[in-house]
Amino acid sequence: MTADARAGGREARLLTALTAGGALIAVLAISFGAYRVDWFALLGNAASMPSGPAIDVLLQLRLPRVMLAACVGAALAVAGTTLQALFRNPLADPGLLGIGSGAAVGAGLMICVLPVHYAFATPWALPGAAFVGALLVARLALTIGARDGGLDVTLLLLVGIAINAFAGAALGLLLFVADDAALRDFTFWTLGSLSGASWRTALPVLLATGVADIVLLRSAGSLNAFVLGERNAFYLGVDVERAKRRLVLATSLAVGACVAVTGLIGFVGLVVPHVARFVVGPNHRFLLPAAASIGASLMLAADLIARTVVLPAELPVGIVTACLGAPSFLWLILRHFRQLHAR
Amino acid sequence: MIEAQRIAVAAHPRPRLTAIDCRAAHGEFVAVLGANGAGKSTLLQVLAGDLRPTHGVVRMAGKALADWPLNALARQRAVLTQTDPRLPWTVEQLVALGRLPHLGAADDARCIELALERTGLTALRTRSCLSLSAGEQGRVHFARCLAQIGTRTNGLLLLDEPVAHADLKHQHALLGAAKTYSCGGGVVVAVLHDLNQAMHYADTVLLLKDGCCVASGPPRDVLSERLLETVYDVPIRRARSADGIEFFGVLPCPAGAVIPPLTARGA
Repeated sequence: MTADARAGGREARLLTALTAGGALIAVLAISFGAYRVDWFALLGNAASMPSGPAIDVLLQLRLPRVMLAACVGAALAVAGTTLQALFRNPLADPGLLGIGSGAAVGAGLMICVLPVHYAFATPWALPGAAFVGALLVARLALTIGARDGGLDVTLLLLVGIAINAFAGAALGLLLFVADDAALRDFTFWTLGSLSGASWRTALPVLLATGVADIVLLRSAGSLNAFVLGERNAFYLGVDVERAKRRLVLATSLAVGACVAVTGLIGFVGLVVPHVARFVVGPNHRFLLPAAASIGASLMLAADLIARTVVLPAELPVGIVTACLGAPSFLWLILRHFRQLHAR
Repeated sequence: MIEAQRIAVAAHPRPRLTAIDCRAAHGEFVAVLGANGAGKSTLLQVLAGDLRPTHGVVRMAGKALADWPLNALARQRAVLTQTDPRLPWTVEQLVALGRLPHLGAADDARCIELALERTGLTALRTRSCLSLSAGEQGRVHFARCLAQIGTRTNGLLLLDEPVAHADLKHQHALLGAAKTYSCGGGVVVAVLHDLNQAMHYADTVLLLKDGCCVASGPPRDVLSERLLETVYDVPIRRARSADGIEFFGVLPCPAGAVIPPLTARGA
């Protein structure tokens, strides 16, 4: 085994704890909601193949929704962690760099331009369009930000601001030209919500984020090397250009898929990597799975809150993640600066 | 072991390197000397395979650098750059990064331990690199390079100003560790600014000026007062102490003239 694995007893235990916590939250998320699952009644009848509304709610509504929430949270967190390592900047996240906006414009185009709401007719169209939008922006950011073989981070963030502004204008224009039906779909979609999740809409997202997560988790070694800068990554045997392409592609896939179903969910990609780093340290072999676990838990919790606090209505989940994320992020920044200046 | 033939790196407005020959055999410590902007770091980048020369070819163990698989290359040559970042990693975690190309080899832990020991960092292993001084951080990155080379005795260490920020004792400890490595059969190519260190640690020196090699050979023969004054544009004396050790001294400039009058060379 590697030195990492031997030295990582503490990290491995923490990861186990995080996963267990995530599983617990998942069970809670499945149990509670507008319809409350009565596990005792359900398991008591297990022998006689339970049926009826209880099992329908559980299998056709609650389960796909919970899985979707977990996958979106994990994918956003893993994508954020990847971008922070790739750009060597603790503020990099899919939203800040404009990747999320690119995905939103892609999905928006699909909703407004295509006839007969083809976008919602097939579950693959929206994630596909969002993925292409995300990929174009990520590629653009990498190209413009490249200076002498390295990425200029300041330039990159400024480019992100420009892309976000432009994407805002593009989305506004789409709203302006959309007909009434498209406008309704569009508004509904931009609010960002996990409601209405079914296996049919969830499946493409589960697949896309699953593939992206596997690619990114397997790139932990490269990401560790990237933290030292691109030149050092090359000296450590990483094929920098190929690795960058692979990471950008996987990140865009994850972000595109997430944005396609939930709209722009803020702060998960930015805050969760910091929380994960605080818990398991900076080594990506542990950091990436920890971020995935925390991201999934946060998203499950946010969705649970979103659909239970104002019963029978429900809040857009983006509002809840921002309310949870912004204060915790503020706390992290302040703590970080206090540490820096305490020395 | 590593051999560069007639390499040149073209750039605007003037070439960064022109027609440089450089050869380092097993057991050799090569010091690269020259003023700022003379092309020392560029040469190191070319030798590392990071920068493709516009002319010429670099061979390691007889095979052109471009033909080496990156991972195989990384298992036998480590590079210490001048721009290693400050990271919130512990000393041990950062040194362990050097083992990345070895894909979990059995002797990872031993190589990390040895690297920490040789750089005197064992006591600091659990400290965050952010809490270390610049000199200590330099040693951490040097230890990472030692861990990367690991137990391989015929590897290549490329060091760009390895002693920058280090105190006198650690400058010598660090160069001593590099010298030990070359004496054991490895190759070391180091960019140095201290003529005395070049004199005492290097087997060969390579003197660069404006991207050209003006002299190369054993330091005792090459480092003459006249040549060094043309390379560095300051008055330099080579002297011998009472106990017979040769050393260099840079003379103070005349009062009023902070920089001695230069030959017409532009910037």
